[in-house]
Amino acid sequence: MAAKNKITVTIAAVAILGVGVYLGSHFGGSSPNDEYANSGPGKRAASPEEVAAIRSIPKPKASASSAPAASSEEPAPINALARLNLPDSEPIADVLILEHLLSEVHSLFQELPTGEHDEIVAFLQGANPRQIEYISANDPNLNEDGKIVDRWGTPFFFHTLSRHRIEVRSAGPDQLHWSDDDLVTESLETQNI
Amino acid sequence: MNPETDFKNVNRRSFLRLSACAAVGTSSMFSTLFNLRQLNAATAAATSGPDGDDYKAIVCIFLYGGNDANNLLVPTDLANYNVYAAGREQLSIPQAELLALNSLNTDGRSFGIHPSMTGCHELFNSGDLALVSNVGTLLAPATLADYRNRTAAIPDHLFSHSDQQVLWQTSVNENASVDPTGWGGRIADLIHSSHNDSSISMLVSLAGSNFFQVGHSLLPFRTDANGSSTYDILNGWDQHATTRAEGFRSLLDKEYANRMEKAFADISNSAIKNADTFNDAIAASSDFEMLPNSSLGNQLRMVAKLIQSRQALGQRRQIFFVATGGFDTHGPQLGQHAGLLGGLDESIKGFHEALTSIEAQDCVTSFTASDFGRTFDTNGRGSDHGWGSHHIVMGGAVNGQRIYGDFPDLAFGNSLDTGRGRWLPTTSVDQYGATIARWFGIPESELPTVFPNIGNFATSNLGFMGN
Repeated sequence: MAAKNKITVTIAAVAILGVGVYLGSHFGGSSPNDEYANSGPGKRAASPEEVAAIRSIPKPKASASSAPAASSEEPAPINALARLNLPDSEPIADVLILEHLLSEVHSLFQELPTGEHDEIVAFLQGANPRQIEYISANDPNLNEDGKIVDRWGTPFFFHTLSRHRIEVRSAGPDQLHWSDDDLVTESLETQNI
Repeated sequence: MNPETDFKNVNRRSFLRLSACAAVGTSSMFSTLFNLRQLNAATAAATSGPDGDDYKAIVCIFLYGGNDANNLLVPTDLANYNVYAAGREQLSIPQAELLALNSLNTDGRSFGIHPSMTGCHELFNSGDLALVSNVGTLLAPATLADYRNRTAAIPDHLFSHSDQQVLWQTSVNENASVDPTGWGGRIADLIHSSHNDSSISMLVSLAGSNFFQVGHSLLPFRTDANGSSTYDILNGWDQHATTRAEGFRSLLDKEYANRMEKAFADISNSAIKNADTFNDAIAASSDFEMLPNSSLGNQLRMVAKLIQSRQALGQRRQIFFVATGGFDTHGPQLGQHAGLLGGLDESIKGFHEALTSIEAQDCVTSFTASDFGRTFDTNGRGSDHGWGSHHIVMGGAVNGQRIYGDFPDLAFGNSLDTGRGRWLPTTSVDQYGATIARWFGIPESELPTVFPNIGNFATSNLGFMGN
């Protein structure tokens, strides 16, 4: 009798858990990563080609600890900018590629580097606690000053909103930042700035 | 395994010993707070005038986005102006347009302020306003080498809007072991009970949520330029509305056994009572038409009303938070920034006139704060995120007509240049805030409670406040 009761209780618990998981997955609130979602005022959805381009970026292979991995093998270069500035993609895809790269960095380090373009590039080139080289020093998307440039040759602008959120801006065809043709996906409406 | 920390194995003797230690520790903490409050009460009683009104208020004017104070305060002697103009390029203001400050400083340097700031210019020259140079978030004094090599404690997440807003308002670095409360809130925690007899918090925000006013025991009372919000259901003129309102009130007045229901009723009753007290108190206040009809002007108008209504509110100490945004001037800056500073100036001047009209100008000190300063160089159209910045302190108790702190050498590559003219601050937010807090009534011995890093700096008094 006691065993039967135990089975009944177990079945009931599993059923409640199942209903909870279903409701949570369908009606759950926002997650901390929602701020990276490409929706809301002032934003546009990526095309399937753009999504495919972004997904093709290899994920970093970091060691489990925060200390640099001691390995005799040279890790394969990540080459995170491999699909940046391709002539057959939409220019906005370049912004999305960089934003995706930063979201990968955030998911691994739980925060983003803050500061000027040079400081962020240095972080991406391995000056980070795990010495992960997301981009190499001779990446063709870097100009002679070592800055990541858009397809018109202007350095991207990394606008540090917080340690969890960086707005990536391309100056667009007129090569002037903060002008009407800038390419940007973030909306700053919710920012106190 | 330590038997004293393993609660399964704790014996009666070690339990008693641990309890005694905890009791002694706790009682000393409460004793400090109690003594401070007693001290404050005694000080308040001693300094009260015949009407018991030893009133003081501080007003934080937060400039969201990071104000470019490189164009707020500009050297005007030819040699230094030329360095300024060469460094700022298209962001520079013509020398002839700067409003010359008649400063009492004796270092022989001359300065002017932005041409849009005619009101502040007048207040500076009449002694009611001071400027504090190169203030910023610091944990301890630092040199450029310290910054580059991390040989001194450097704040986390420099140049980031949100993080630096929080640090300016809390003065607590992210990884510190101190509770992340704001320094305005911590001041209020120490002083509220000894100076105020009011159900309404002495912390009033006219600009929504902020970190500055979050205390351990006190939270800000949030209102807007139109007064405190009330339940719609309690408003209305016809018989149905009256019946509805009576019904709602009777529901809240019921005794509830359920804790959640009781808490909801208590909080709702308290909110209704506070809103009524608040709105009744300001009902007879002046319109202060000298303040502009702008967002900041309207916020400061409500602050003036609350200061005028202080006795009705039962408050002898108040801390206000107002804010205005748009200072993140990466884009075409010159015209936009002139408009922003002009709006700020009009509000500050109007607020001073409003306080003067109710004879409260000597007991209210207003100060500016902002995310960070901006790069001294230009990105071609505007400026980017910096660090140290110049700030305004205004009020009758301010030792005005002076520039405090160390104005940075404006040549690129100098000993404070962390890159692109992002000046390493030479005065910390802690020192800036502590100078105001001391005037407000926080004794020297309690400044570290409010500003945990203040002991790292040579002085906690920059001298810009009188008595």
